[in-house]
Amino acid sequence: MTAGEPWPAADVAGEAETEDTAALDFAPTDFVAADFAAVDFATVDFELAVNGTAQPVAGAWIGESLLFALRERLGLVAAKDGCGEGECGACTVLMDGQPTAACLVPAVAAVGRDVRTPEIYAVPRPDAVAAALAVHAGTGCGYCLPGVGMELRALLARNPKPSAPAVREALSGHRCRCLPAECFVDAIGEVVAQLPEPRKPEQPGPQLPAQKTRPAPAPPAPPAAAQRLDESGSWSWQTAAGASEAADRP
Amino acid sequence: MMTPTSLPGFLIGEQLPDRQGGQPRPIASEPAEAGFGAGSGDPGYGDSGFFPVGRSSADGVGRAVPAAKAAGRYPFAADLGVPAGPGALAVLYAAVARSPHARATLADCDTEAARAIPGVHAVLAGADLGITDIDYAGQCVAVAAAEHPALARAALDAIVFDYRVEEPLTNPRQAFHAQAIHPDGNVAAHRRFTVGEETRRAGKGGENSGDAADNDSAVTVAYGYEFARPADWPGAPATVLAVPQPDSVEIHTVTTDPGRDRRAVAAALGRPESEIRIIPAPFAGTAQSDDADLRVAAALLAARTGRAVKAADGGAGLTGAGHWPAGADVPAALVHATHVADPDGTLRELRVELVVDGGAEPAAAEALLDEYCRLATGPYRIPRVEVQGWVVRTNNPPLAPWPGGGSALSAAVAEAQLDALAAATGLTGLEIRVKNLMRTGDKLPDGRAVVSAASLPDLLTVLLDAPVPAFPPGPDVRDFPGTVGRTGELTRLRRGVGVALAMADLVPPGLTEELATAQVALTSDVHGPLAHVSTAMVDTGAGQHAMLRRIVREVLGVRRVLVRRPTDPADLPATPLASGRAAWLHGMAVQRAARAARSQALTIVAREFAVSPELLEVRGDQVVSYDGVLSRPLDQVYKRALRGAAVYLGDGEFRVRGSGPAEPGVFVPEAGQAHLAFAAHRAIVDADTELKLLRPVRVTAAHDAGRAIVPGRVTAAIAAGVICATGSVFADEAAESRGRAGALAAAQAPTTLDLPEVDVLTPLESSIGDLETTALRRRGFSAPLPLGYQPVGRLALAAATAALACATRDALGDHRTVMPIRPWHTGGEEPPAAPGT
Repeated sequence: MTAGEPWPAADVAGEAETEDTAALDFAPTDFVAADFAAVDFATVDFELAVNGTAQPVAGAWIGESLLFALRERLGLVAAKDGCGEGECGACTVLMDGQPTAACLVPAVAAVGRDVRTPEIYAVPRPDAVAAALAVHAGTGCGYCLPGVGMELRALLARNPKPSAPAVREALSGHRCRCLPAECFVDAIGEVVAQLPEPRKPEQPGPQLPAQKTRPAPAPPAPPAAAQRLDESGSWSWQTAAGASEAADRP
Repeated sequence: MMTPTSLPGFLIGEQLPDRQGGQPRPIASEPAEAGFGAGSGDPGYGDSGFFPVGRSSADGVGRAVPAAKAAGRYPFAADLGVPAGPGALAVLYAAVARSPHARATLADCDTEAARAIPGVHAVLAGADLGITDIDYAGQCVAVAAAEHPALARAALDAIVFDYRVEEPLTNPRQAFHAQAIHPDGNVAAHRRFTVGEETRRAGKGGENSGDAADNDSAVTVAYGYEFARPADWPGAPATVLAVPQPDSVEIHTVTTDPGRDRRAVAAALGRPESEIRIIPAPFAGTAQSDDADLRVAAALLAARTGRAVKAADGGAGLTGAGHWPAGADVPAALVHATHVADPDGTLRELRVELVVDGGAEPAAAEALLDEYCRLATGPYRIPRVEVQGWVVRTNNPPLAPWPGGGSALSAAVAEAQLDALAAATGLTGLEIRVKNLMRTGDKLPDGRAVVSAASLPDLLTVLLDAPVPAFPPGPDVRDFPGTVGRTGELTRLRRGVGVALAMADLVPPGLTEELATAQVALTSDVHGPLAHVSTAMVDTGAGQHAMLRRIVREVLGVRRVLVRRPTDPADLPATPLASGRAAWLHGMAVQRAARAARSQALTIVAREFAVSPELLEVRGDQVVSYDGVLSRPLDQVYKRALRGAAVYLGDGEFRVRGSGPAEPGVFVPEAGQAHLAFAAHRAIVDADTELKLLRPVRVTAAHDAGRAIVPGRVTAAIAAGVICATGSVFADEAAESRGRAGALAAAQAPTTLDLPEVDVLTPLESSIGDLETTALRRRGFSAPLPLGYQPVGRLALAAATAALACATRDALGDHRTVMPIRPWHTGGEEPPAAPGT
């Protein structure tokens, strides 16, 4: 929270101060121990603006992270709990349009901000980024994908035609251990190809035209079809090989 | 028909579907991705209003699962147990307290203050969990469940522990002479293998090059290598959700082997297995399993409190304990290798001594030692080999599964040694490798002869034909070593190239028996024929279920295949499968089950053809006899066979044994024969030699995939192996933080900007895969080797680790022997190469 901003309209229900501040050792765990052994569990009520909707949060611990509030209190689990210390990028959400590690933001500090979680871009129907990620980055475990998607959306918002190194740099705060970076470069290449041509030329800077690391990607599968895979098979007798090719194509 | 047939190199005992065993009994099963669709038996959990209801049958490389993953709808264990909308917290949160001492006796713990905190439901510490002795720092000593993670942590912090601290043994080098820390002693295992004639030796000890020097003009290279404890960081904290049910506890957890883990939890809790239900959760990151302690703790707390308990570990978020020591500051494996060669580069002798730090539970490290010893030569011909190794017990944490196992360790050492030898003999790295390449029939250190090394030259050839990236890199600074921030300078740039070969043992001789079973049901619904596969194989996200579906589609010619898992793991018995053999065993079991179902469904048409149904197969849209003479449209055949909701059930099983007599249905290598799988990788690393900046540029991977059932899965497995290998070869500057676990910030893994480009060449499909369709099939047999027998992911890890390290040494012009290679420590700060034990 930036200085000078008013404290959000939060209802501090408990005693937030410890008796002897000077005696506190500032190791975080010790702080928690001293705090909880001595005083009540301080809770607050507030309202978050998530995905364009006002969501009331009642009885939250005052030190709770935005990620915890989103996932455990509001049930918005698309932002993942990875490392809890801003390293892995799995918890990335957009706060006022900026990609933000939700695990590092106190929930009360997000009051009055526009918070967007991956759900709004993927439910009920995935946007171009989610669809492209599903096609190009679908073989991994998928834990980091929602966060990667948020980062790529923010990247596209500021740079409509990012080069391969620009994509890699944007994703350097996302620790994907399953897939090489080319998968994400390919995915964003596909998104860019679908977008209407931007008015301005590519923004100046070190970015170069994207290096082609792989042949041009196939057009993405329509999302509706993706949802209905498998169950919708009709009584058709394609060749076994042909049918399995079609169904297994990433 | 049941007589085992001998083929060059291995015995085949293949059975035709066994009718004597009685009719297959349908087993209770559920869709393998049950949590996906907020479905039945899941009241209040997993449904956040966003899950498409009724989804099932998903696999890692289809379309539905990737779409769900990208949208954040894929139900990881941590995503369960949340309210459907704004509301109160739905579960209790559990946290774990860990011992700060490496060796201590836990005399007493006072939990009174912890229990007194409002909102804390259960606190279990020390004796409650059966813990009295602390064997390593980071051992679980207490768990607590509370209504909020912060309360759970507060409860743990309020416990007063009374430790009687003792002097720990943390340096594996000292284990041999230090006072025993365990009644069984500090040395847990010793292996020694020798091959070839004893040459003139000055005496025991083996590491000094003096005895070889008097051996007229031989070139000797001796180095000591150190490998840090593997830092295979999961992408997420381990999260286990335990839900109490009236008659059981349901545990949602990451597991590759639900049956084994259920036994373990039941044993730890002292409850019958029927009261434990393990539901495999989707994998997150590269971790193969959740912490066993965490499962037990969650189950115990759920049973105690009668509420669903979400236990998370690692990471700083939720209930994470933050960082705890992982023992990674002392090397977990010390290898001393001496290669002796003729002046022309022909390898003559290899001596290896290694010590593996097994930590507090050294038994698990014995497999690593075994594998290293058997593969110590690398895929090279060395007439005389002497390998010995020890596993020692220390007060370090138990050794986690080593990424790539003994294959990766032995490849890293062998390839480094070959590069050093090339430098000493004036050859290029490629020349010395080609000159000494292993050939069919060569002996491994344990005396087994290699069945086929025919693919090695091909692998090297395709590898060398692959394009290399342009040098110098740029002009974008993000392609330079160091990328943004401290960027390398063009004039000081040096490119290093490393070529490495790796091999893996398909069936080690000591293997007692591995077993996988499966059941396939061929039936139909209003949309047409449909096959259900029940399997214990877990999809880790790498497309295992897609592979099984593909196998069933090929055998049955049915488009729709649903993967299911048994409700009770005992219905589909399986032994724990070692890494690299799961795809093979489960794939073969499913194939056999599908064939059994097929021959039942084709009985009518077989009678018309006057052949045995086992001799019919499905090719395209036709049912064809084995010789291709008789055929009939599949459509017609199935419409008749599946009339009236008929169900054809087929059971399949596949066993692998390390040695012993061949039996029907069991794969046993012939005595004294070794089946090896090979891979060749080339890595390119750029270095700024002055700033000591490194950047892996590209890894090119050539593999022999046997038969790639789902090519996308093979490519993904190889790429994941390379990415993981990069993390184990390179470490960032903060060396001291590597000794901490539980948090990604300490991992110092390369970021996306530093990861190499991965170029996976089209895998070779080795000749052994063709056996199935040739002579054997005609006789009604099929070779048990073809499906998925190549451990590509494991090989990729091994080969990429070795290749990246070789390329880095080449780029730096410095024979680095400490792994991971720390770029900032290139300037002589590293400890000198240890002269062995």
